[in-house]
Amino acid sequence: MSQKTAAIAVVALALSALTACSNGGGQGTERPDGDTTPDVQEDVTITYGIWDDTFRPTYEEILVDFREQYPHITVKFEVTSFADYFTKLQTSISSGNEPDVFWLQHNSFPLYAENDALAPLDTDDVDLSGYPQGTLDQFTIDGELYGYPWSTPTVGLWYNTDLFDAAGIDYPDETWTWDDVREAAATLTDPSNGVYGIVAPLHGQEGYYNTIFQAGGEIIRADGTSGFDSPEAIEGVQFWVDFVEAGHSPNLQQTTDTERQAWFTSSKAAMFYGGSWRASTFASTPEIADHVDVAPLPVGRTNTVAFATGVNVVSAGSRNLEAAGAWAEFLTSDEAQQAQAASGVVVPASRNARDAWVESLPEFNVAVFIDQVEDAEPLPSSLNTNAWESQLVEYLAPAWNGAESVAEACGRVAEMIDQALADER
Amino acid sequence: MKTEATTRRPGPLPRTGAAQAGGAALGTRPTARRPRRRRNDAKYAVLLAGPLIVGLLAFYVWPIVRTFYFSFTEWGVFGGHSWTGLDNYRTILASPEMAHALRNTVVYASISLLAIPLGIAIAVLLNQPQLRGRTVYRVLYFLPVVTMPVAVGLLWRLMLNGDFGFVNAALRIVGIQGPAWLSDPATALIALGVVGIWAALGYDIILFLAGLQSIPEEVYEAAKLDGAGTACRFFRITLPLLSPTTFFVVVIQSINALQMFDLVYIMIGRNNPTIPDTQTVIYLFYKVAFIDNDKGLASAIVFLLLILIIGLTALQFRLQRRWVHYG
Repeated sequence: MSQKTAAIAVVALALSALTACSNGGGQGTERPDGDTTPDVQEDVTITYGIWDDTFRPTYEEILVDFREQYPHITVKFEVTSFADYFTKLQTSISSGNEPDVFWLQHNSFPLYAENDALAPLDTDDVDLSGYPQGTLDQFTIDGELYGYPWSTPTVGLWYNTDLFDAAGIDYPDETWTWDDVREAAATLTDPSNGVYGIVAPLHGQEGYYNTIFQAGGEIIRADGTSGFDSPEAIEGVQFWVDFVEAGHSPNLQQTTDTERQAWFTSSKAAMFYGGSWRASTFASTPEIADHVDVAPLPVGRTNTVAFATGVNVVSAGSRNLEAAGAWAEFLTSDEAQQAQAASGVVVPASRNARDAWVESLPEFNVAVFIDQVEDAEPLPSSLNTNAWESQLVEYLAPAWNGAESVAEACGRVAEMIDQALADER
Repeated sequence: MKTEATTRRPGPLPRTGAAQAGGAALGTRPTARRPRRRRNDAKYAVLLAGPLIVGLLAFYVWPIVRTFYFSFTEWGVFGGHSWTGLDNYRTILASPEMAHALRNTVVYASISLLAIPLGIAIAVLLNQPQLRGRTVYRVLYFLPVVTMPVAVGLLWRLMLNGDFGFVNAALRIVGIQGPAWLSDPATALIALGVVGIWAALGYDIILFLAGLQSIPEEVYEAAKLDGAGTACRFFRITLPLLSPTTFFVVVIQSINALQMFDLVYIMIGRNNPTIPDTQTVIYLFYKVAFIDNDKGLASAIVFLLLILIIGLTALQFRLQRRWVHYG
């Protein structure tokens, strides 16, 4: 081969390698600007971003019904684990690759709404009567709805019936108070078998947020300052640190090395403040499915529980706004809500689907989670919740390790949150 | 002796008068041919090297230039940036978190550089002529190098689990209560360093083996004749003659170790309270760029690291004439 031919071949090969690198994936067909025809007939593919793979089978069932109504729309699921979800989402929005429809929660919603990342939803033909007005108001800005609420997960006291039977303690019920939990944890801890009475993780939603609310404290007050250093909040955090100090819970290093729910699912901890989203996972974990159940959270000063509201939003940068809106809207229908509830994976936001949730997993007392929504307080949120929430582990770790008193650690947390809230303004 | 006149000279070499006569014998005009061939050769050189150079410019040089520019800007949550001058650099130089991350990085790099003396020792042992199964040993040592860092991190994370991990189970057999390696600030960085050694050892061993085999046998024979013992031969002959390889390995490994990210990300993870005591500069960069979404500050962090690494490498090159024996 002459030098010339060799050179041309090399350049051609290199160029073809470059084009192979380019981002192929289909975001759907380009809609011409100004096209306002309501009927989308050409084939489109939209992506749906979620953070929990246990939902996928349910959504694929819902998708079958959806495609009967909209045969030209295909929905692809993009599952990213919760730990990386928001990191990836923000990056993908900056680069224009975000999913068309995606999950948010009420505490991450403000950041996206403020920064014009969400498209307003067309609610003219949508029946939202099953949704509490308060929930809808959370996602309404200037009279327009920017997200369809779809779930209201709460937290309950999961307990291991076998370990309770072996120790001769009655199962927890709605009469239980903080003292009952403390007593039970002490009795159930069995160092010779490596069993702990309870898991006391360094976690808000499945931990101290609930007890802070139950003690009568607040993480963010209505006036925009932090209540983390109030005596009530300190009490709420101390509740957990006491278990670690007394040896009735694995310590911080143990719950860092091994995830908090793993202690419960391997029967190494008898009690676990776990979310409603754990129900279907526990039901399908053969090691514990037959000997766990859930009770309402033990009462502190009040009965309050922390809850989140999951919401489906449409990206403002979506290239298929019509199709994306159609999918998000479909998920609000009674049928879709009931399908989601019946799978036992999520507490539905719509009242019309609550019975389906209660009946979804007869082996567990999952009605508990619905009852708790009545006395629930939303997870603390601000314009940029992640900015201060991501630092809580670092600030509270010394309290869990015994390096600092709970009061000191909470004081520093309150300062940090105040500073973050001030930066937002 | 035959004159060059009848020999056809290839390429753009300067021609002697005799050769010109030879060229004339071929029936062409020599002077016009020379520049055209040189130009053609240069053209092919550019064409063949072109894709690589374009790739280098597009994917290495241009991003460095852009990062340098972005280090003087501040970014919004979802994109968009504005010029802020030296603010980012001032923030970093005053930040205790950055200083801590730098200290962590240096400690980790120092620990993982222990792979070099270990690698030399193992390479010398592997180089024994009477050793059987040398290929098996080489494969075993090299396996960690070709394993994906994520797989390495996940596996070691499971093995180093404080309660249920393999390492502590093994220690329990001999009666030692092992610490929670990855969640105790006192041990986390050391654990990362050991995994770093494990992952890089094979690469070093292969390079040192090649270096050892380039040392001529005659030198050892002469030394033996002069009565040099094993240790003497090792320190006075092997190490000095191995120094070019050692230099290369030290430079490459310190550059890699100072940029470590994946082990922290996989083994420690962002919800681990030891993060402030284990995060490296690149992990801090990731946190600032993608979790805190402050890409301007992140660009400044990474550019400072670049300057640091360039400085360190330049220093190593200057010092090489003190301890590296070539030829």
